[in-house]
Amino acid sequence: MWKYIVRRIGESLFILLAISVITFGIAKATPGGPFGFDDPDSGARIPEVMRARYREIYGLDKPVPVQYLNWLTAAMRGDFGVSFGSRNQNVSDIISRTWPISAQLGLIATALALMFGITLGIIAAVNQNTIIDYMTMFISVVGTTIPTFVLAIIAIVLFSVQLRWFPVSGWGSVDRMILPVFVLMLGPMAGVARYTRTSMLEVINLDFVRTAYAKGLTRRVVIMKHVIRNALIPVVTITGPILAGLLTGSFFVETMFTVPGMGGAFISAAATRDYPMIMANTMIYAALIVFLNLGVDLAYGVIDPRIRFD
Amino acid sequence: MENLPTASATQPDAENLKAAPLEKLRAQTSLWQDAFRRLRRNKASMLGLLIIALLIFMGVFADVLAPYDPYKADFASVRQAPSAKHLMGTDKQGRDILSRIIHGARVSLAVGFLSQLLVATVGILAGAMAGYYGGNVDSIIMRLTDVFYAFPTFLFLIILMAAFGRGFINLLVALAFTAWVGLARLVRGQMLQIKQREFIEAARSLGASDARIIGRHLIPNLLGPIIVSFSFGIPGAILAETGLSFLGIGLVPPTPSWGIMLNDGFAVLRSYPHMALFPGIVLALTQLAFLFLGDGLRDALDPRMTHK
Repeated sequence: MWKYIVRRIGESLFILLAISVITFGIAKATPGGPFGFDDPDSGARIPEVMRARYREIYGLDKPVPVQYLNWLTAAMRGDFGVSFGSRNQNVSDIISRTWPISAQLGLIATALALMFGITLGIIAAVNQNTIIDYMTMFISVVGTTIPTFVLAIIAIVLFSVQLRWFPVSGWGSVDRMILPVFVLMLGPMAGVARYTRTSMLEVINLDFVRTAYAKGLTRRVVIMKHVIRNALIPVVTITGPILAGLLTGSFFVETMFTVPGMGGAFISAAATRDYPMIMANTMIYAALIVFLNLGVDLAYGVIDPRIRFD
Repeated sequence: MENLPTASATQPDAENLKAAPLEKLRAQTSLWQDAFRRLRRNKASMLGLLIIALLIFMGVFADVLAPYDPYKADFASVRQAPSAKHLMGTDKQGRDILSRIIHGARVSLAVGFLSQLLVATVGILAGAMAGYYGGNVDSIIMRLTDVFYAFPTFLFLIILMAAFGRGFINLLVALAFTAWVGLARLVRGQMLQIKQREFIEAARSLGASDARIIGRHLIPNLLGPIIVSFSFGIPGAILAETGLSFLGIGLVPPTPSWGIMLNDGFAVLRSYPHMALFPGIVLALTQLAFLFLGDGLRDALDPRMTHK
């Protein structure tokens, strides 16, 4: 068990290192720097002395492998350099300001997606092939297929513009949080509902459930005590895909509802080629996903004792 | 879960052997006839197929079907609400939205199909190499797929597009670069699995040549999962394109991309909701159609599914 955990942690660190090399490489391989030196209009007017000074300040005058190692050692200490976009701000400062907001949005959305998704899935499975089942699965299909940004547009037009129930943008008060959370959680919720339903239906047909009925237990007890408990174990495994989905969703939701979080900041950094910001955000996102997947795999073994680690 | 290797198609599993005499009574049908029969019974899939056929028709005959030139600005009629003259209204330059949506179908389908062709080329080649050579080649390719797998796809796409700039070719390359992994793993898994099956050994012992084994046994067995991966890859690529274009890092205006139209419309959503709603609905319908077809194809081509 311990050997397995150590090996998995090692693998995760290797993957993160590889991702940092790839991202850094992409950033360095691209034409055009962040300062617009190559801009045919304004770039030509920047004197060579100033260019050299800029390169020196940002460490761009050294060979790329050295730049990478400098970045890596600084990043280990939590120093991701100075943002190219807003030049008087440290990337770490921007992130420590934006991530609590994204974490709040993400956690609320995850909790609601799991809560409603599991409930819908159970209700659908228990009422298999009835109108309730079809309705639930219809909601789930709609939730899976409508892209987050289209859903956001429909939600804004319907609830903000037509009905005037919620403000269009911002963050902080409950009425401002409802729409972004709703838009962000609908897709993952639909996925959880579909998955829970399938898992429930698989368990419902197993022999031990028939035995439970045969010994005279009521349907209620069988479902609550036997079916749900076993059916929810595989649901744990979709936490990884859910998180990846939430991440993608947060880019759109934060940009569209002007939530001052990491996702929105990352998109503006990407649009302006703010590489220190892009690198820092990428590494945080990747670390989050890699270690969460690791945690899920390990937790799975604890929840389900039938799983053995090699 | 979609990437787990599935059992091969032509070889009956042990539990199916019992049913073999019954199967003989039926007229012999090929795998593809069987699959098509199953697909045709799936109403949702047929609806999906119908919508996709319509989209392809729109894309191919966009020049004839579109009532207006999708690029031609008409500043006398800017941001008009839907009317008899412009069924879906006009955008900020007075361009007809319906015409742009029809031409947008061509753009979306081109992105979907071409990117999947690239993905298939890279994915099948990498997977086949890993599966065929094994050893070091296999471990290097598999380690690489591990890294790509852990890298959230859309995040990776944003980085690539931000770095190399927007545009059609860049987008296709970025899509292929991030999506080949799934297919490579699938092909490798299938190859390893099929290589060891008894029917390959049987074919070999009967004196079948390598070419015959590859042509008659390996490829038909791989084709099903590849088709399924295609049917989920196309809407995935379309979604990525519209998403990136919506964020301003996908295709370049004035391309009639649904994502760019959504971006234009979102800027003035409160006053002119029609500009974003129409392309949004068409995009959602497209996604739905491909999901229905993909689900149906997966069920139809999965040989382990019980024949009812």
